[in-house]
Amino acid sequence: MVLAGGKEIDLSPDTILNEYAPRVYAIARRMLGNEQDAEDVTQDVLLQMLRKADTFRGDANFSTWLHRVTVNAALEFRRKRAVRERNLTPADVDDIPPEARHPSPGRHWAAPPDQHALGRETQRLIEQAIAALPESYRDVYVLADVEGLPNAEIAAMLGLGVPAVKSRLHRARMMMRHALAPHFEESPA
Amino acid sequence: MNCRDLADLLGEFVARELHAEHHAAAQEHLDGCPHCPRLLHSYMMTIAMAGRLQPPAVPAGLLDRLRKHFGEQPPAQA
Repeated sequence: MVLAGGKEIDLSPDTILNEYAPRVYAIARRMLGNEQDAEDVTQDVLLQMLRKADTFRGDANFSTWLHRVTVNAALEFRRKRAVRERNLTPADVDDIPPEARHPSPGRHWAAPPDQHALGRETQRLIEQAIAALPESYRDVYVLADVEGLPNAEIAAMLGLGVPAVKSRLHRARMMMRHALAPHFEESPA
Repeated sequence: MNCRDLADLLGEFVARELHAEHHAAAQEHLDGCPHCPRLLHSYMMTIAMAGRLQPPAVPAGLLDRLRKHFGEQPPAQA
């Protein structure tokens, strides 16, 4: 245990490996879209966490702080990757399929089985659709709908206003819906 | 309110963040529209399924590297 920001934080190897590593890796993997980059960021964040735990001020809970450090590390990694690849296209906010802008209602969706965990195939389809989202939408979608963070927190992490977060989240959901529709729409009777 | 208006407001509608009169107008449209309830249903399913995703498994190689860093022995292979 270390004391930081007036709170006791468990930084034992067991807790880091079994509790923090999966949380950090999940965010990095989904934001960055590939395993190798996510591994690099996860390792970096966990080692940073050990070095910088004393900068945790205790005004947020430790989990929020860890999310923030992870998101910053993933964004920084992506910036460096873009420079390396000389791909400095700043934003892909206009890269939205027309169907996601003006959706048709489509057919009724069949619900997946009402189990706590999604089936492997359903999980794969959703992960694939997330990976295909433009980055600026994917970030908001992962943090809001997958991680369940509040819009205000996401806005602070990404340096956006809350209205921009809401707008991107709505567009991202529409794109996800469009990508998933062929797999969940019921066949016509 | 028409179908396009409703589609633009779905996020705030499901989060119950619309002003009362806009929420009521959206609900009234949904009650009378043959199409938009399907859009709402699929939109809500998209949100619900994302919340049920399991985290991806942390690669064994990464856990081994971290264990090494902490001076721990990796678990024996089964």
